[in-house]
Amino acid sequence: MDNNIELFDRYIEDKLSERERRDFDRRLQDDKGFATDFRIHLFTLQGICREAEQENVEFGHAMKKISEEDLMRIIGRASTTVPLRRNPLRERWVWVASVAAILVAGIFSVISVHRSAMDNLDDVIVAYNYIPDSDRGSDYSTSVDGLVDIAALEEAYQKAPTDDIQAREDAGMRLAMAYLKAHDRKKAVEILTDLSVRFADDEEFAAQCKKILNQLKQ
Amino acid sequence: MEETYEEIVRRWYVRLRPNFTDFLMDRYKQTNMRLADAENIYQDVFIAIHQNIAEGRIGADCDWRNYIIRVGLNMASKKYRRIGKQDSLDETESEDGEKFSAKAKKIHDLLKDLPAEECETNLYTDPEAQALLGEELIHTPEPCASIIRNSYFGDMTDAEIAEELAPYRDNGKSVAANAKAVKARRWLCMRDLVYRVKLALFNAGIIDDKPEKWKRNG
Repeated sequence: MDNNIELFDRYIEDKLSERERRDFDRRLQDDKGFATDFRIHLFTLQGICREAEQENVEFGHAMKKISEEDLMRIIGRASTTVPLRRNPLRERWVWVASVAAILVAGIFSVISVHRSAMDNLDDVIVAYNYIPDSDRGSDYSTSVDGLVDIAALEEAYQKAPTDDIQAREDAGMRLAMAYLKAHDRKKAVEILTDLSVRFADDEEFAAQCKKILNQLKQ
Repeated sequence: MEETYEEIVRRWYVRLRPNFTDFLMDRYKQTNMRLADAENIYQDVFIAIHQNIAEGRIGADCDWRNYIIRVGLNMASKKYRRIGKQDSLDETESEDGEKFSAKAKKIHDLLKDLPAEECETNLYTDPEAQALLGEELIHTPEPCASIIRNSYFGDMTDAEIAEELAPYRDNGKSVAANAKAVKARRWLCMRDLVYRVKLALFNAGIIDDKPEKWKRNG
């Protein structure tokens, strides 16, 4: 049987010489075992071919019965979806807007922190420089907490007696501190500058005004 | 148990995929074809087959295995046109092949011409014999099953089989050496298969000759 397979195949493929073929045919007639082996060989090959044919038929039927969707699923191909149309211009604007929003938020944050710091400084300057007087006759409180009625303090400053330098200096300083406490630095600086010029002869007072002005410049 | 359409398609898809992709990557290795590219082509083949069936381009007796490979090679050829072999096969060509391969037809004719012996069970029509043969065919391991099927049903030469099957393709040996190896392996595979078939027929009482025991080629 070992060499017969090659012989059988060559016989099937018509690759035997004329003499070899005659010997083969004679052996089929005379050798029962040889004939049986050949029959079984052909029987096996027939089974191979039949099975392959049947597979072909089944596959053909299967392919006809399967929907394209099922096929895609079997072979692992993702179903085709309509891709979202990109709008490059819109994307650019969204990006720009996002960056701008971040910048604005950042700027406002910085400004807020800065302002808070400046406000704190104003309060410190007022607390450090303002010494309330004990003028009981005034219509307003001269304590730090009393520096809230700016209108009254402005009126007091305007109506301060012109011949009473001390009264005018105190009224001016109270108004400047009130502005500062209200975090109106601009007006505080205006008043302090005015006071330092008007009362330049009072070196001590002018020096105090200038000192406060220097503190406000920081 | 009857297989579903999905199972049949999946069986062919899974069975042919490794050989197909390995074959393509080897054939187009100059282009550095990746596995993903080869698998994409393989998927495209099945999609093309589905479309061709829907359009009535494929005959009922199509040899699906060869058709899949031909279509795949054609697709790869078109895609990698600049480098590698050109394949002039038209994927839309109707595969109206003969019902049998040339070898299969020869086997069929020989069986018809063989003189029947007295009191001999006609293996070719005996349902039990056919069933036993079917069982042994199912349990034929790879690469024997592929070699046997490609040779006797697919009419492929030993060189063509060697070019397609992985163990022989990428081993660095010459085509002739690999073809020789396939030939030798085919004999061993057939010897093993015929032995198992004969043993099954003998055990079932269908034949009288007990096959000679030999060491199976695992």
